[in-house]
Amino acid sequence: MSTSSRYLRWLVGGVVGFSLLSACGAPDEQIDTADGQSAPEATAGDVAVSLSMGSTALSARDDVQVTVTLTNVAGHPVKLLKRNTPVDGIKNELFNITRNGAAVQYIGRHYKWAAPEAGDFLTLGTGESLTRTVSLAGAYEFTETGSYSISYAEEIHGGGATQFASNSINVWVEGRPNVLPEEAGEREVTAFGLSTSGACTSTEVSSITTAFNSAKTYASGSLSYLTNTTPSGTARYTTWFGTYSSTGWNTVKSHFSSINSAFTTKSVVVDCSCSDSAYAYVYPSQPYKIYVCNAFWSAPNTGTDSKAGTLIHEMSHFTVVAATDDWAYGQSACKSLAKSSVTKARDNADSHEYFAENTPAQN
Amino acid sequence: MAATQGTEGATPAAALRCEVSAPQSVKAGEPVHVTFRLTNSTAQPLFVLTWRSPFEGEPRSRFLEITRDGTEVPYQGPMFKRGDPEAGDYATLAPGATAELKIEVSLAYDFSRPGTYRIAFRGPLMDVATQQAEVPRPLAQHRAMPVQCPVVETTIVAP
Repeated sequence: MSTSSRYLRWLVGGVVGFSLLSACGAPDEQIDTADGQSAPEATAGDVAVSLSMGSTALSARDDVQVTVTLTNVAGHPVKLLKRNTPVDGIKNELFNITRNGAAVQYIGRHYKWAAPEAGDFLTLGTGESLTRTVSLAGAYEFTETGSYSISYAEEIHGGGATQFASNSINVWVEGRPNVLPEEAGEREVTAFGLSTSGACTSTEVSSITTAFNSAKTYASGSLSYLTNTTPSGTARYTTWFGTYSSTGWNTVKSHFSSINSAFTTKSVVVDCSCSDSAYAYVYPSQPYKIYVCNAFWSAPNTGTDSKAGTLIHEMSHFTVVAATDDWAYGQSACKSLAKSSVTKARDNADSHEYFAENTPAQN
Repeated sequence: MAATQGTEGATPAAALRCEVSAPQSVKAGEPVHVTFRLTNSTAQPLFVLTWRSPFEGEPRSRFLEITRDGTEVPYQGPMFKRGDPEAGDYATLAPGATAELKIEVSLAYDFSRPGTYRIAFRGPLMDVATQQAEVPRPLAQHRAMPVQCPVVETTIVAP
């Protein structure tokens, strides 16, 4: 535990011990009638919660943002205590977070709540959803690098085992210092774009720039294909990633979501100093620097084994992007890999490149 | 002192026999070396593509799986996108000959924390040919060969 987390964990009036009102509410609570709402309070199973994140791996510079959707599945309107939802941000220990199985410390604010009043509730109509994207970085400790599992902390909401059960999502987070909750929402988006290093000539800079823009098109095109196509065993998918499964499709989609996000929001550096016969290389733990080598310069801008495709390949390697490996090189070996191991195909950089290049085009 | 483990359990027909050794313990902060001994047990020479294997000689790919007390240790070395290989990308192993390859794994993996590290190379070799005239050959003609190397352990102790 770092020192910062200790003084961060200030308590506003001691540990909370709030609970769902009815259990131990003050005698003067008049919540049911105070605002004239007739909706009963949500009970077990009334609200479905789903969590999602835009990326499966986050570098220390990335905020840890999770999107929470609460859906009223009760068949009638229900009422929720606002502070038990993310409607106004994180004001409670709303999530269960573990790293490699161990509980992660909540470092956000602890309030001492007064008995809830009418204005402390929100109402969800039948079938209505509420979606909020919140930053977890100021509320939970992410000082250690590792694989984090995040779910909605259903057990604190009234003790019902399944009242607010959500899916659990896994994300790799690079450790970072704790931030004060006040600061968490105000971090600046890192300037994005492309720069070069390693004594690139002006001709090289020009062809890197063209390739970078084409790689962006590949990344967004791949993501939109995976988003807008009804998930199924399409030719384009099965050729590179093997037999269709929804898990597989979603994994590949999350990879391209991260790749696309890296190309559009990160500072990418392309370095020209390599003289190896290879196309390019990266250090997976050092995003977003890509070293291009001899074969890169003789490659076409787009198409199979192109400059743009090489940038997709390399971007997929970064641990904070898709953490791919190099199980197989070349279209022929990648097609075989898709048949012999869907797991390795989904973890293979060239497979992502060929999916993105989609040459010859398949639907 | 080095602990050497042999290839018990490897298929008798394995063309390449593999032994691996690593120091039983290393002080944190000192370099960690793993030595692979690959023996051509066939009657023909073998031409082995060096990529993603101990033949690379230094960390050039994530060909090893390394854990510390069961937790994966991330690879921090370079990862290459490769095209068709060149002649220099193949190593030659005469019939019965053994190649001894010492890899400084601490160049690409963090061995600074005390614990028990397990180091595995699970193969396969990406391309192995028996005729010199066949190599180098394009990616599409590569023929992988399985190789079974035993897993070794080394303990990092506080200095």
